[in-house]
Amino acid sequence: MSESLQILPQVLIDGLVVGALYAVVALGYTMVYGVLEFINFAHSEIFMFGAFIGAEVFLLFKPMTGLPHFVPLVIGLILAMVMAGALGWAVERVAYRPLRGAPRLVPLISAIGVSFFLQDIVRMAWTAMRGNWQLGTQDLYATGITVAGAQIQVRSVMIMGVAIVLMLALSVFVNRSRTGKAMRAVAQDRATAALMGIDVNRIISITFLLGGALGGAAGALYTMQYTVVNPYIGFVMGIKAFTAAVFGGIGNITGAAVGGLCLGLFEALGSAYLGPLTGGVLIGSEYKDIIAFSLLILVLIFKPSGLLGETVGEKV
Amino acid sequence: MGGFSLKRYLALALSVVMVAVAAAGCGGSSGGSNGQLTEVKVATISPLSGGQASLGVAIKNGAELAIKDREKDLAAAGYKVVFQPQDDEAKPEVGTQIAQRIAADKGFVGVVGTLNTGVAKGIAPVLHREGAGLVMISPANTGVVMTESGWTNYNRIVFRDDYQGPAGARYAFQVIKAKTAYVMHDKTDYGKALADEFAKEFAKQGGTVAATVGVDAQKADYGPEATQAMAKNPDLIYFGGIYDTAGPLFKQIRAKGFKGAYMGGDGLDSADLVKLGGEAAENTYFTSVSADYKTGDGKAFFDKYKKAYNDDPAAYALYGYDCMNIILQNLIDYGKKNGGKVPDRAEFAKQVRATKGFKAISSTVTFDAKGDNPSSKVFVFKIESGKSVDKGAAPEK
Repeated sequence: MSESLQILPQVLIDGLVVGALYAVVALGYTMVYGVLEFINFAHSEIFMFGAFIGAEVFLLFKPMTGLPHFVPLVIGLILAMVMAGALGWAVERVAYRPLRGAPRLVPLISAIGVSFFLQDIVRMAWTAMRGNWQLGTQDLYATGITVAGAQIQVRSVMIMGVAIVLMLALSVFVNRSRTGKAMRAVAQDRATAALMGIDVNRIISITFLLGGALGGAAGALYTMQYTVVNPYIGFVMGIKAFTAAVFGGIGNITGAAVGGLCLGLFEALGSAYLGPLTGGVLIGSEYKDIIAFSLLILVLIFKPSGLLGETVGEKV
Repeated sequence: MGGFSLKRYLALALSVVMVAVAAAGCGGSSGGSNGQLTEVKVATISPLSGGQASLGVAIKNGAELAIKDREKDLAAAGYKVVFQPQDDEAKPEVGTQIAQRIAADKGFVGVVGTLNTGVAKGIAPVLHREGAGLVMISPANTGVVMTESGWTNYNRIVFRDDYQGPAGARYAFQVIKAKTAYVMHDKTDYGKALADEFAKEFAKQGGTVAATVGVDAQKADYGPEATQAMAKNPDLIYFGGIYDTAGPLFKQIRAKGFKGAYMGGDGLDSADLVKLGGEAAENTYFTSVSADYKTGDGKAFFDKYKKAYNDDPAAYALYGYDCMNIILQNLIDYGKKNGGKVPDRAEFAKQVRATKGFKAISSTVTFDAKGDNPSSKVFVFKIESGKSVDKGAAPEK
């Protein structure tokens, strides 16, 4: 029993780090849903694309061993955000806007198609450029420090820091700026917003641009944390982040943050304690997802709009 | 019924083009004759892309060299061998698809592969059943199951995990002097069986196995798994699996403060283990096949490979070469006796299984009744300063 308590600080910190990444990716899902009531399934691949851009930047600076890690990290983050944002914008123009009037299911299928398309394009492009579609980068900020009896690497702390900054920045933007107000207006009632003189198309484009940029940032952070990227990392991350967004209340930015952190914590706790809790039956971290998804189901049964979501009545 | 319209014409034309392309793609060419020589096809099946490509490409390159080296002998026996390497991406589904295609194509006379036992497990029975017993020799499968399932067309020139695992356990207990081991595996046919063999023998030697735990292969985040491993405070962590999972896993366990040794099997035998694991890969031991590149045929192979592919040959390159050479030698022998015609698959597989005393570069190969090669020895390597160092043969008892 004492062994279980001893590892608790380590487990919690691991959970928070993973949760921070989930949270940033979840922001992209929740923003687009909030404005368009549309689940952008391609968001996971935009995250993956950001991870590849980050990896290429890191590898560019790899031979310069004397350089402070700050340089590749910041350049990687900015470039990933810019390019992933552009990709997000482009995907909306090409794959979703032409389907604006169609029944709800049609753009959803389009999104799934875009998702597969991007996976294969990235795979083909990197096989052509580098001979393989799996990239491994050097370690940045990987020195370990001890916090409250747990081992953590500097980069994990940085990821949590950057994630918090991004979430705060998004919150300020959406709640305090003119464009943010326009976004909230379009989210509330698209037709009336248009009547009020808001350029709805422009707002939607900005939403996808921002969502893509956040996905790209998450991608670069992922690359720094795990140093290995391939075209399929988006899939699992997408499922987890989307679950986190729904758990916290889809459409709600704070909900996405809370959902992400909670999911990360549940996973880590489940992984560490599920074995001992079930008397050795469900041993090993393979079953950790059971806890996370069981909690999701419970929350949705008792509060279908998620932890922080508001129950929105059907629009007549 | 509409009249002629551009849209309908385009749709019809597109369908015709699609059908034509599909038909062209499906039609395989089978052995015809190239002047006087009978054209036959051979394939390698190994991962040419993805995380395990470094080992898979080595197998392909080795096999390709063998075909080049024996070209004249093959022509003298009446054959022109066409090489068609296949990429199984280390996935059983992909491997099985490839096997179906090769089984149906009458031009193929032999297959060298695979790297992964789990993939081979799907391929061997397909070649056995649908392929009329098309012969397959593996340069790298160590899973015991492959030669215990009655597939008369399957052989391998490397050792089995019920030999490799215990050898590693003996080394860990007697030489590294580890008292407690934490055993992990990647839940594949290869990794789990190897880890179990290690655990069994380690306990028999007198050591304590703290736990045996499976992890998901090729995941990014092993934080929880690393925490659990550290909680048991073992002297040694054994991992049954491939280097592309081991690299990140070892890195993350080191990050949690693990100071002991890692150990694994031949799946760790790649320069990419150090690339992926970095500093964390130091003090990693692994059992594997060995090759003498310093003298004689080994050195000749090393130089040839370096010249052709501009890279040092990875572990299985030599074994890919030897496997292909066994198939080619048997083909030459068959051709001399039967006038250079395409061999009957079941007959040819029987002939290959009966190979005795073949002087391959890696060892002298004689297949036993099950298709194993008893002369293959287990060696132990250690990663020191980013390079793998041969520590000699593993203890026999």
